[in-house]
Amino acid sequence: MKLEARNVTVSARGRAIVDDARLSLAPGELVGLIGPNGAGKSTLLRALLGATTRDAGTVTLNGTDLASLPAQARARAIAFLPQDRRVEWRLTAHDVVMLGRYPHQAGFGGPTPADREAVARAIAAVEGEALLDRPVSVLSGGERTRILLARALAVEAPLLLADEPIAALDPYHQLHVMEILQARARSGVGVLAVIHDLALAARFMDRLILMNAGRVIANGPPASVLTPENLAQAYRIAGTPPARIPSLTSFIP
Amino acid sequence: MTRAPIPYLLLLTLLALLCAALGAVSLLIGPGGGPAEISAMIARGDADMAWMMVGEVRLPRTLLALTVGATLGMAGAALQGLLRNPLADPGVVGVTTSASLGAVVALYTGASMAFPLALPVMGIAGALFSALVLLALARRGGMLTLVLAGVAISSLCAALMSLALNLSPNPYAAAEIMFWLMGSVTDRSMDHVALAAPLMALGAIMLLLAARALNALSLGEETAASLGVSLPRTRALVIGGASIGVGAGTAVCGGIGFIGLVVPHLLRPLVGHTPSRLLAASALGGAALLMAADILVRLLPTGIELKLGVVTSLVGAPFFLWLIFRARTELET
Repeated sequence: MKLEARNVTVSARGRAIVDDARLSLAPGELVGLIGPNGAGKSTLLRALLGATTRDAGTVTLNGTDLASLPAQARARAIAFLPQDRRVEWRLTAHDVVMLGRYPHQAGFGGPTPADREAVARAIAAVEGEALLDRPVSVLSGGERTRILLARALAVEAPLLLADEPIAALDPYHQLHVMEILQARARSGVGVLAVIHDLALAARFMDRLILMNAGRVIANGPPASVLTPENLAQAYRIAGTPPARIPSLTSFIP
Repeated sequence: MTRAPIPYLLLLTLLALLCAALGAVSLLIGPGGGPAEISAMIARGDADMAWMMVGEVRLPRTLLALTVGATLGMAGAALQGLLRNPLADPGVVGVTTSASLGAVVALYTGASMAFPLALPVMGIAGALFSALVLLALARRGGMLTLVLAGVAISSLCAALMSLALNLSPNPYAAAEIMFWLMGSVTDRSMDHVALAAPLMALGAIMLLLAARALNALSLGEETAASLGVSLPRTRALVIGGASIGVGAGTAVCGGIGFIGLVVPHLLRPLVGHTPSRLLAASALGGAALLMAADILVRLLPTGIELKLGVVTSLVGAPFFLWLIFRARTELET
């Protein structure tokens, strides 16, 4: 399952938020979408989901125009983890993860054994078994992110888009979430994540896409994207490519 | 794997049994005699008299309390789910006031004197008109637009009702309007039931079709859309279903407050906070509560029978205040 965006332009009030952007996401890839605040990363992500109206360009899934796909087929193909971590009502972690099975269910029937197995796999992937019966509203930020990530994983879609999945997490949880995303990619899922931490991006991502002012200005392996010239242009900072940082296992006593 | 304190089907069964019991009580008691008098009537061969009291006076009122209560409960639960706001009730979509306005016009113009069913028919017309305005907005605008439009429709209808009261030719006409607005199921016939019930059933079907989408909306509109939920369809089903059902109910019974607000609140913990499960539970809970209130107005020794809407608001408002007070920490997170 391959997602491709060509010449995508999204504008609001006459200003282009995403300007002639092009990107692709293939199975098994872990791709980081980086760029300064306001570069158009989240808007591009929404355009890839078909959740925003494009002014120009095409988004295709295996060559089929995304807009021509039924909502359910699209929802089964692309899972999405938004930046918004709010959960209304006092739903338990289990109930929230089960919502990831929405595109696979129909009518008034309850969850099938296949749904329950997918939920169990998703919860195991984020090591969230201990949280199942607790309301998500009382979980800590790290626990809540893991449960919402499990919700996105429970879709078991071949593609996963995540908008800042590690924002507002401590270093341990950042590494934990990155390792979960990496494991997903290794299992054959195409993962595209908006990320601000360039060190983690360099360490984990197979490929980086750098955006600035609505345009994709670099796309390739981390070392070729995180050059001093690109960093200066996009972030207006002088810098060198980030050094390697320790893996999660070395944090665990 | 759910935190609901009792199994869902058991909860529904218990609520249904409660409704059946209250329905039986509602048929058997009231002015004119209880079970003893009814059996005495039948024993002395006066079965026609017994049937008139139970079948023609109490049956329509019981059926209306049952169906209107169910409609208010389910509509409240669905709107709270759609707007993700525990303070939403059927009044927020403006349908209660627009249905009332239609009825007031029927009373004011004297159409209801010429043709008794003119009042509910015009009430339904008022409700459908405001539903169409809201649905036109729901296709484009967001949730906030909807709520604000509901407030605007509500205010306009309330102003027009005040105008009718202001211009009413004599105090009796004004009093008639005031009494009607208080809400009641007394002195209704099976014609009223036949007029409103199909629309209330249609409303309930529309709300139930949106039930699953309401669960997905717990995670916000963006996530729900990514799961394949069509937001315009969900809005249309909930706003349309609530408007049609509550509009029809209001058209035959007047404004009955607080059922749609309080019942979902009470039952939410019992269904494990799942929005879709709250719909059927709130329908049964609303039916039980309104039938209980209607039995209460018959038992209270107030001389003049209290209006049902007066009782639900008198009991509901302080109770709601207490709920808010108890849950204030939860609401403000």
